[in-house]
Amino acid sequence: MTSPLRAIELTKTFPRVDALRSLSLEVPEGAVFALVGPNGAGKTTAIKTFLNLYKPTSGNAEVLCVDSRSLGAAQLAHIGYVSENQKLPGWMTAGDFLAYCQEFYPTWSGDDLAALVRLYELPLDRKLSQLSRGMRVKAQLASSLAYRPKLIVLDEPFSGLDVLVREQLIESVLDRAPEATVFLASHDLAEIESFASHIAYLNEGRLEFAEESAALSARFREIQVTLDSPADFPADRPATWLNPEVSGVVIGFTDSSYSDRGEAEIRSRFPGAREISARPMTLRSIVLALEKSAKGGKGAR
Amino acid sequence: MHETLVILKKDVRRLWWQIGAALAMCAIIGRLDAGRAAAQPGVVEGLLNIVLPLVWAFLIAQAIHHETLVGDREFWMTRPYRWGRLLAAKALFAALAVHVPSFLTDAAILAARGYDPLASLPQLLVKQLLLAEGLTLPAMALAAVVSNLTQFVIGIPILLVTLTASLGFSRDLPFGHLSYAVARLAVEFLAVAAISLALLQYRRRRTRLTRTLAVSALLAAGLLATLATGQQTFALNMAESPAANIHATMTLAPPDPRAVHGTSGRRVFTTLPFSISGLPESDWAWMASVSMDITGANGVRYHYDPLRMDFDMGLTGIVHDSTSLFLGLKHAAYDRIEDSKVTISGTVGFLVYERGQEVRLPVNATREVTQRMHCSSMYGEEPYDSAWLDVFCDSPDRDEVSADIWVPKPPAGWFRPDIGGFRSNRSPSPLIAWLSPLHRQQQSFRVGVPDRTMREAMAHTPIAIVPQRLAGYSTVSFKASDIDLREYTR
Repeated sequence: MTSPLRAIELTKTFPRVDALRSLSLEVPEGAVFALVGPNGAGKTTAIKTFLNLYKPTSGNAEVLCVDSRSLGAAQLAHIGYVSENQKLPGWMTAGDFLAYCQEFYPTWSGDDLAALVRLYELPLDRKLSQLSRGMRVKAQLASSLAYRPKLIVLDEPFSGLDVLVREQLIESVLDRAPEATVFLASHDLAEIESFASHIAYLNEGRLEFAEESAALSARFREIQVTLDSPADFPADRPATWLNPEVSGVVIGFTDSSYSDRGEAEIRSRFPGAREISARPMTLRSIVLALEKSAKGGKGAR
Repeated sequence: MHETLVILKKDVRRLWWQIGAALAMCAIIGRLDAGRAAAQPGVVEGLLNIVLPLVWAFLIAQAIHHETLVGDREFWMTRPYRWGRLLAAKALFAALAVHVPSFLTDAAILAARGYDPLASLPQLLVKQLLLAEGLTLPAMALAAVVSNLTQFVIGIPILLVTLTASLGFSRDLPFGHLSYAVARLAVEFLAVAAISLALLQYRRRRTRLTRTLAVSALLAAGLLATLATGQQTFALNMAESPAANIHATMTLAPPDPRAVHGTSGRRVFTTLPFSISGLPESDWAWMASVSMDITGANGVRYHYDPLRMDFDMGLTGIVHDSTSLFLGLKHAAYDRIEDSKVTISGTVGFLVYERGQEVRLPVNATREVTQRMHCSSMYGEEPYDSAWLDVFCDSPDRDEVSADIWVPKPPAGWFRPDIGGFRSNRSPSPLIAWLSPLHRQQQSFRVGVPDRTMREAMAHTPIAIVPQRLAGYSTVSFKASDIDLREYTR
């Protein structure tokens, strides 16, 4: 299986800003791959470098098996890109815009477009500049899905949209997922948790982790240990135990490599444990735990 | 091709009313130009001659900025546009919005003025080439490297001022005919640079590099125009022209006691007479460029350079078998070589004009002086005691429009305001045509006497016109040793 999107030691530097630092990742074919991270983490820079809007300072990016620097019309005809801050020809009506885009794609499907227009309830006779933000994103998305792209790249497309519109758009993107790979950048962790098959976390241009959502959820646990009597946190704790907190007889931490043997490991470290609870974590709490750990300067990812 | 047409259609649809406004301006210019009875355009036509190129440039910039090449947020950048087809669409837009209307307007003007547009096809196409070099291509290149239309609007005057200033500093250009060639070369250089920059920017979108190259090209064009010497300019004209290279010789003649000399202010003036052989006797030769060195026996050397002004130099007009160089040396310079024998050497460039058949033109009439030049005369009276007679000639070919115009038997009291006589100055330089497809030359005569009979007599006096066309160039070197300058200055 080939990877439709791959970065190898990808670095992008702007004057006074290292936007991407040796980013290496591989997006599996057919995945819904979410690149998450705080604002300014480098998500948009990564996407723009993939799409040849920026030239890499060093390293390589490959899109549909082509170096991003050589990305041309042949590849772009199979890529659908929607970004929250893309400049559209506001003077065109939505209908004109879609008809104009159609001319550039040999695989454009009129039936698909009609279905998308119906689904999104797009007002084809209104100028793009007069549309609400949600409607503009819908027009962009319709123009990017109607030709059944192999790769769908979304850069914070849903931020600021109401829940219903967001759900509608996500659903329409996911409908394409079996045949298309979706690469999505977002800082809204709750939003992408429900549908992303893979998650990568970018912080200050550095990739903190990239793995399947299920594996990520499986290895992170919020651990709470109740002891018989107060005790300190063991100094020789595993590096995968993050953010320890001691409050009387209760000790809490995040285990970033929890497995079936996890409870046994905990018991061996806390012989006086009366009760051990290991709660699954949401993506948001995982990321918060990682960021807290990073600020504390300790812990493994 | 399909994509190109799709993009073109979109641009035309977006800019239809601006295109319409430009077409309307074209039509107005065409109508005014076709009906113009003077070399200089009127106020409205003159204004439109300035506004229309700016409107065209802005149209081109707008079309280019529908797919802005600078930045990373344009929707088209992530769509399957092919750069060559995008550039072709923009070039086609420029052709349709600028060149086709301009070409058709020019053809209509020529037809209205009695010229066969088909016979003038080469001139019409050269005019479009010039328009492309001077307007379309620089506008496309500038629009391709700026982020928005505001920057483009700021860039236009910078471009114009740089070029105008550099051409203004051009040295050794006594006649417009010659400086035109330098300006043309600078513009051609810029056009080639503009094509390269547009190709680079469309293909690679390397804005910083392209901008650097654009500024460098502009400076280089300016330097090219500024640093071109008279001799280089003359050589350029010779190289460009199909006219013949005529061999002639030139020697310094003994002092002429009637010649003007003396001192004035900070300069010592003298006239150096030369005898010339080899120039065709029936033709007129114009001294168009001079380079001269005066070297004293004591090693002091002065080179004629208008920027340093060690000495001034004046050129006489028509040359047959002799001519004079009018010299103005600074006192300080003259004092250093006065007492020693000097060597005077240099090179002179001549433009040789062939004179055609004289044609008599009645007042208030139009006549075909040659197949490629028509002349008209208009007589009019002003209130009280003055009247005027304007004679002007036009031609679609800039090398054909030169004419010697005079009134053979003028009644007393008539004069030409600019030279106070009755004869034209026979300047070989036609007036700049700018947007007009016609090159024009005009002579004006005025009468300021209250005698009505005299004025009426003038209204029936034919005007003599002798067409003249560039027949050749001649570069002549001269050297005279052991010259006592005092013999020429006393």
